[in-house]
Order: sequence, then structure tokens, then C-alpha cells
Amino acid sequence: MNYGYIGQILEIDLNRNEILKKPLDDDLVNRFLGGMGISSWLLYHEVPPHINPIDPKNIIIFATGPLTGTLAPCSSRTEITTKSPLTEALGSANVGGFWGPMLKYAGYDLLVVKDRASHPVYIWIDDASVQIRDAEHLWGKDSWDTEDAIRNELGETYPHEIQVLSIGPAGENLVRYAAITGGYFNSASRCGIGAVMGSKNLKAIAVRGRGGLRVADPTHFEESVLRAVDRIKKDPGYSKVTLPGPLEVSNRLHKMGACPGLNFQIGYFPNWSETRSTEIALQYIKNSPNLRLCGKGCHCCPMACYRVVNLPNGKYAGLKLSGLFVTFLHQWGAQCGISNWPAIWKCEELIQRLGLDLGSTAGTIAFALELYQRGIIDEKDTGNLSLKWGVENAIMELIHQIAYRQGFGNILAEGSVRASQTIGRGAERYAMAIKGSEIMGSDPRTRSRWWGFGIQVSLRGGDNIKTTHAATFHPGDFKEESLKAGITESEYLERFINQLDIFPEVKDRIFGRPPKFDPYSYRGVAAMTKWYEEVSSVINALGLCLMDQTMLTHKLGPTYYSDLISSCIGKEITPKGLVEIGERIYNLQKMYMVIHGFDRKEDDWPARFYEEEIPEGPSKGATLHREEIDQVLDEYYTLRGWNHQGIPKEETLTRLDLKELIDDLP
Amino acid sequence: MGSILIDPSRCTGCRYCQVASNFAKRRLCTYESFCIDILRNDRESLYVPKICMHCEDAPCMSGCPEQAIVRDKETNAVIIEEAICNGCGLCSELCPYSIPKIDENRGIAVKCNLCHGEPYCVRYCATEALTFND
Repeated sequence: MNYGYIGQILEIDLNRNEILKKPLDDDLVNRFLGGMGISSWLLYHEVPPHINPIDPKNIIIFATGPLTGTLAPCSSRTEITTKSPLTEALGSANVGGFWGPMLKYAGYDLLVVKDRASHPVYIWIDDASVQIRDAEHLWGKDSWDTEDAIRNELGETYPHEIQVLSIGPAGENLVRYAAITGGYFNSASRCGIGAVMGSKNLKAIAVRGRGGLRVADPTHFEESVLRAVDRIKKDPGYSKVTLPGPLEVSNRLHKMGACPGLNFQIGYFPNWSETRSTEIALQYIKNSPNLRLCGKGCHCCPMACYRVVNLPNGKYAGLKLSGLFVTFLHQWGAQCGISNWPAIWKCEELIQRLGLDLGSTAGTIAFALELYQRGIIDEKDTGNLSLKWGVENAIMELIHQIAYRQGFGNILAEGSVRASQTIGRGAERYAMAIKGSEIMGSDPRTRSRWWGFGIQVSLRGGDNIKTTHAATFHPGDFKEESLKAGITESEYLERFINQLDIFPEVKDRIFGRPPKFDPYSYRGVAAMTKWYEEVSSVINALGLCLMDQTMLTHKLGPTYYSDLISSCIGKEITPKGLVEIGERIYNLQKMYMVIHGFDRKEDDWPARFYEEEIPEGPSKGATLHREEIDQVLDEYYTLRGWNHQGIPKEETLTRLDLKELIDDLP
Repeated sequence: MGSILIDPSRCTGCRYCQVASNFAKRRLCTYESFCIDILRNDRESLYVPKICMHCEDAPCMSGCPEQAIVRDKETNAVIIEEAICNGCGLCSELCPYSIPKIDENRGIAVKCNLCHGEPYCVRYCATEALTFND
């Protein structure tokens, strides 16, 4: 393995102080590619169901893919896999920046960390030299200051040649949704993986790699890279990526009445345009003292989706933040009801520094705010905090309490589902979570059906980033775009579908013949979900970013990925072969859920979405229907080769070369 | 005269220029670039690419004891003749921006040569922080 892969796994046992360098297994590479594929296999075999996520026997794997750190566009990613303290099953999160490429330049494809250190430590990987160093002096620091301190003490010869992944106080205090932060603004945040680092007394992992990576066929690889870059840059969605970036979605969702307002009680705020619109956010960005025309980018990214804001005055003067995603607005602005951008950004700065996951922190706080609204809790429970919607001081105080597990925050640090069981009094109904993980993004009753279905069946629960997030077609725009192009909507749809890099038979399954696309129907949703789960698994195994999938109209697809990986490693993997690997990885992860007792009953929404209609706004009256959901679940399980309970059938595992897992079927 | 123009307000710090120039010259993906550096402050999100400006009156060229640094007639770039350079490093000391670097493996000084008139760093810069004016 000389090309794309380094061929080496770094395995560190923190209890025994043991540092091992092991060869990367060819068979694993052939079956699971790398990244999320190989790491899921290792987790499956090393961490069986009886092991508690914060037990020293849990392991945490940092896995790059064969394209991580190469010239391929958006090739920055590292997959982090462990057993999740939040869902107590598959923990899977992903991070960009420059840490993954550096790990490879230092000479390792994967880092596996086992057991627990007796006192706080950090790992320092300096090319071939690997040390476990004392971190007593770093314990308690937030993730930004940790990064600065490590850079200083290791003596960089030029700025940011050392890349750091670290946890903040939340990870140290085993908050069940603590994140891992890198490069200040990048974070692998879902599933509480930061708490696993905390449970191992592992504060940070610093890496400097001065080596490099070779590809098998540089000429063809470069051609494939340029073809992919060209497709990205010529996409109609591309101009929106750099400015306003992902913020642009804010207005669109509100127009649809799809905001997760006040813990999914409302989809629409009458004063939204005057307070939280994209235009107002852009004013702050444009008025920043150091005007930046472009965002901030991860390794070799032509899309640079991170907007930068720098507040020169006002209540939060001095705030500097990067990565202004629409999710900040969803979670703080809509879910918790904060009505001004600077406070939304301040909350974001707090969770980045304290090392918390956005979705679960805001989701759990919104849950508490609703309990307070309904009188289920009061000042006696909250330690005299008045938890009114949108009151930024109280919300920020709760963020601190959660990270340090103080007062009422100690209950919320367990996540909304566990907190609801502790509180009782009917609180369970207001925990908006799937598989124990708080739901992120727009309201599933209103937005396109595929969007919500991805969240519903997502293996890690709570969001669709590894499922149908990649299927963002901006379908609401079809009419507008066809008018602009001066053609009929069906002509526009035909042209749009032709451009997609999806296998023809799958296109037929998704869109039908003649093609139709109704975002509010479940027609084609099962096929679309399966497709994007597999494509996303391939992307996460290759070490690429999903952002092109989300932001672009036509996206890259298996044809492009096949060209890139084949010329990189010098072995042909066809587009069909790649998607099959994606399917294998997805089924492997599914099996990890199955052995932890998850089945059809966990692929479901909280009762609110079936029983309550959206009360106001453009989506007034919208709700989910049980029969429709059951029908699409059946269709999806059948298409996947799973039984009625959503458990892979024996023949499916055999077909996917996962025979070893058959004995684990219930 | 060909030169690379820099607009730091457009630089996203993505390092595509560094990886691409290494890939072009050494077929290697790495940040250890001999051609282009980015002065960076990630916490402030500030990035300034730093690259040879191929000065009209280049101190590296006039000061090279081996006369290994010459001006390319076609591209007008200031280039290092690898066959002549002995890697003494004086060029780096003479350059006000310390642009030439010593490639320890090959024992020579290395720097941007404008990729013979088609700079790779510019080709891969998506936001036009780097543009080529030929």
C-alpha cells in the first residue's frame, strides 16, 4: 500500500503507556475503503454491547480515508468512531480542517486510542515520534486555549504547523453530548464523542506531519481532480457557497414555515425578517473590521463554506467566530427563540470553547425552556433561573452549567431523554430526540419528505447529515428556475435529472418515468434515502467532505469518486463497486445498532410530530401521518433487504460479504 | 512580465496552492511547500499568501556567488538553475522575505519558478486570492 494509504495504524494504550504501529490490513481496505468503513469494523469487533461508553474498554478511533490529504477537492476529513455516551450505540462524527491530512503526512491512516490514562494526558505525534505527555496544566482549559497552549509548549516554527484536536470542560466533565474541537472552529460534535476522550483522561491530540503522500497515477489523478473541481465551480449553486454561504438557507426555511421554533412548537416567527434574516447576518459580516470577501476553507477546499464574523462593538464586542452555518440559527434562533444574531453567535462561541455539540445542547435547553413554559419545572428546579424563551443570559448560564455539570445543568448534561426521566411529571413528551439524540434542523412535518425521513432512520439518531442531508436539491426552486430558463417545469426537471451523477435505474426509482418530483410526497423517498446513505458512506470512507453534496445542485457522484480513488490507489474501483462498498459500510453500522437492541421502534418520531399540527404560518396544519410513515418504512426496509423490524436479512449480509455478522442476528 | 498577484482578503487559508504546487513539482501531497507559504492566524481567520515576487532588481540573483539564479527569458521569472546551485543559502538571507528555501534532500535552494508560465497555485485557487498577470 504505497498510494493514497500510508499503510499504518497508530494504536495507543493509555493505561499501559504503550505505543504500537501496526500495518493496515489489506482485506479491511478492500472491503471498507477507509475512514468510517474501517473504523466501524474495528468498533464492531472491539466494543461489544455490554461495554459502557465511558468504560476504559471503549475505544475511540480517528480514521482518515485514502483521499484525505490529497489534491482531491474537499479532502480534509477525519471520521471519529466510538461507542456513544448519548445513544449508547454507534457514535460517529466527522471533522474537517487540517488534522486528518497532518496525521497522514506524519505517517498514519488511523489512530486508535484504548483504555484510560491514570491522570490527564495529551498525545503528541511528531512524524515518527509519538509521546504521551502530561496534561494536568491543560485540564480545565477551554478548547481554544488548549490549542494555543499546546502550540506554544511544543514550539511551532511557523504558525499552525501543528494541528490539535481537543476537548473542553464539557468533555472533561463527561457531558453526554460533549464535542471534539479542532482548529478552533471545526468540530466533530455529535454523539458525545468528547466525553469518551474525557473518560480516557485524554485532553488533546496534537500532530505535525512533515512527510507527504503519493498517488499511483499522478497524471490521471490530476485530470480527475480538475474534472471534479470544474464540476463544483460550474454548478449553479456554487456562487451561493462563498457568500452568503450556508446562511442563505435561513430565509428559505422561514418562508416555508419550517423552523424548529420553540422546541418544534411553531414553524414561523412573525418578526423573523426584521431580526434573524440572512440579510441582517450579512450586514454584520460586511461590517466586520477585517472585511473578508471569502469564507474560510479546510484542506484543499474550493468551496470554503465557513463565513467569518468579527463584532467590533455592542454587547458582545470582540467576538470572533468562523463557520456561520444556518444550524446556529435553527438551534439558537428558532429552537431556543433568541432573536438577535450577536447573541446567537455568542452562544455558538460558548459551546465551541466549552466543547459541546450544537444540536444536543440547544435541543436540551429548548426542552428545558418548554418544561418551564408549561410549568412542569419552575425556579425551584432551575436554581432560581427564569427560563423564558429567547432570554439570552439564562440560556448562556445554562450552557455554562451544562459544561461544568453545575446545578440544573447537571441534569441537562445527561441529554433531554435522560433528563426527562429524572424530572418525570410528563416531561418525556417534550424531549425531541430520535435514538436519544436531539433532532437538528428544520421541522419534519413541513420540509421535504426525504429530509425528515433521513433523520428518522439515521443510525446515529437526531440528524440526517449522514443520510439525506446530501440529497438537498432545493426542490422548491424548480418552478423559479424553470421560469428563469424560459422552459416548462417538466423540461427543467428532465434537464436537472440528466445532470445528476446517479445510476439510471436508481434515478427511475427515485423520480419515476416520466420523472416527477413532489417534495411533499413520499414517492421515491425510500430509494433516495438508500442512495444517499450509500453515497455518504462512500464519501466518509474516502475522507472527503459532504458539503458539495449539500450545497450544490448537481453534486459529485460515484463516477467522479471512482475516477479519483482509482487513479489515487492504482486499482480500479468502478462506480458500482464503490456504491456497493457504501452499502456494506451502512449495513455494518446498522448491525452495530442491531446488536445494541435497536430496531423499527427506534426509527420513529416523538409523538408531537404525529399529534400536533403546526399552529401558524405558511405550514399551518402540517403534521406527520402514522400510516404514511409506516408505509415508507416498509418500502425502505424492503429495498434495503431488511426484515419488517428493520433488521438485515441473512441473505443481505451474505450478498454484501458480511457473513461474519450473521451469527449476531437476533 | 508575468507575476502572481495576491489578494489576502480573498484567501480562505485552504492550502490548495501549497498542495498543488508540491504536486506539480514533486508529485507529492504535503504542506511542506518550497513555492508558497501562507502566513496564517486561524483563531482570527487571517491568511496572507507569501510567494516570490520575481523582483526587477532581485537581490537573490545579484548576490548569488555561483550565479545560479537567472531570469528566464520566456517567462521573465527569477529562477534557480538546479545544476549550478550549491545550496549555500545566501539567496534566502539576501531576500527581504526569505523566500528561497533549502531542500535538504537535494542540497539546493528552491523557490517559485512560475511553473514555466502556468502557475499551479493560481490554477487551483478557487477564490482568486492568487491571480496570474502575464
